[in-house]
Amino acid sequence: MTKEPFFKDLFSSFGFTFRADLNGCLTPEKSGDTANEYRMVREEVAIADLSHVAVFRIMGRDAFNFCDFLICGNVGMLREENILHSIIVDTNGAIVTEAYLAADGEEYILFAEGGDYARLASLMEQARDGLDVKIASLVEDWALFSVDGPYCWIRMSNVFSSEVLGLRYLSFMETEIGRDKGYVLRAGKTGEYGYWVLVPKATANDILDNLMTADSEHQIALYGIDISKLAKLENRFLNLETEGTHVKSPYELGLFWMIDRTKDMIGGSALNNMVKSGINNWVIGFRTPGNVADAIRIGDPIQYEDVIGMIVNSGFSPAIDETIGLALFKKEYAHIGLDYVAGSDRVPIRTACSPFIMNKSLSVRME
Amino acid sequence: MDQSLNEQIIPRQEVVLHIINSLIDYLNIPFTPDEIHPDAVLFGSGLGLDSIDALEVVMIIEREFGVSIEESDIQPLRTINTLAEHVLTSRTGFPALSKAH
Repeated sequence: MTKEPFFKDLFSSFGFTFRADLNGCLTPEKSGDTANEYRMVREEVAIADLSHVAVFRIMGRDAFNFCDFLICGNVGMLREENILHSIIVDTNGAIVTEAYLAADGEEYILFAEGGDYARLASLMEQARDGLDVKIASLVEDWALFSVDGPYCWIRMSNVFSSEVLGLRYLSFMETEIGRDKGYVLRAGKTGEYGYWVLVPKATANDILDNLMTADSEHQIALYGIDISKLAKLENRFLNLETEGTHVKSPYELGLFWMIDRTKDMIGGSALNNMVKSGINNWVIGFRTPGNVADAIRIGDPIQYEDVIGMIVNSGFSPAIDETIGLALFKKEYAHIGLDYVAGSDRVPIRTACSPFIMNKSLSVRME
Repeated sequence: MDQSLNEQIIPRQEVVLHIINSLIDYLNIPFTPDEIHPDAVLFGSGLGLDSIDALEVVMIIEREFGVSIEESDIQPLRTINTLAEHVLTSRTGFPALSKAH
């Protein structure tokens, strides 16, 4: 059965279309004006529905042991009110989902974005075996959305107090909402300032309405998954629905920093073997002038003399007026500044440093 | 691989590896050179460096390559590849990439 996004009515009222993502959740796709959605993310403030993210509360005496065995990052180093950004892999070391783990006292809140949730459920069962741990899904009673953009902090501080201005990237705070509590997390995948807001569904519409109407000289709009996908690509955030469907090795994707190979965890042996046997391919970025995104499709080969790689993500970046993308290359060819051709049209591309853009938020100071 | 491509790759490869080894040596980054991807973000996520480390990175690049990084220029400090690009384009005689790239 398809799961509906919590803010479906709101997004519908702004003309958004919807599509089912890989885990059967209907997701706001795009409005009739994607150029405006993009502009709001990059220059003003924009809100996205994150109903497709799976959210769990992990409780019990062995909550730490469970999380540390399930998640590739070092949970032992995670301090209270901080967030660990990592991945969950299967016993073969293949990425199953992207994970944000928030340390909430003796408990944890796990946010899993993208990938295969059925496989995730199976791995969670494996990890809890013999442990005193209780797992509660929060998606029935809680709503999750993001507030992004170089000036999002103004509206966030107006609605949630100026405390949000003190949140460092990958930290969070609890917030009182009437008799309920909610969470504001400093996180995001646009490269601009960003917050995730997790609140009871009973209050979510009011809070979102407060954000939309809060006093600010900067405009606000909604944005859908198409612009979210482009924003991730421009800033080289992982997207399991694009590059993640073609590349399962976290090392080939450059996610080594999300992995602590010194600990015992699901997939630990496989990850160690990947490093020992050598990493033969790397995903790196490429770009080419103008909008030729239609001629550079996911799955297309990249050639020098022979085939040396494959496109795993691409799109047109309005910020730099170029087509950008990611490709999986044989490692010896995976260096920047090199000219290759892509696809059956043999479009010239040049391998390039990523992130591809300089975000406006880098020059905006929170006050 | 033909010679002209190889001639482009080798100096880049050497600089990238030199930067990775220097970061590991000076900043005690808990990874091996084999697993570090050159698009790794230096600060915040990625290698997880902080503002104090930023000064050290600037000094490492100056010490190891004789190349300075202006205080206002944050682009080179984004990833290992952007650091390498800065080193290569700052060195006399190395073919700079076009500005668009």
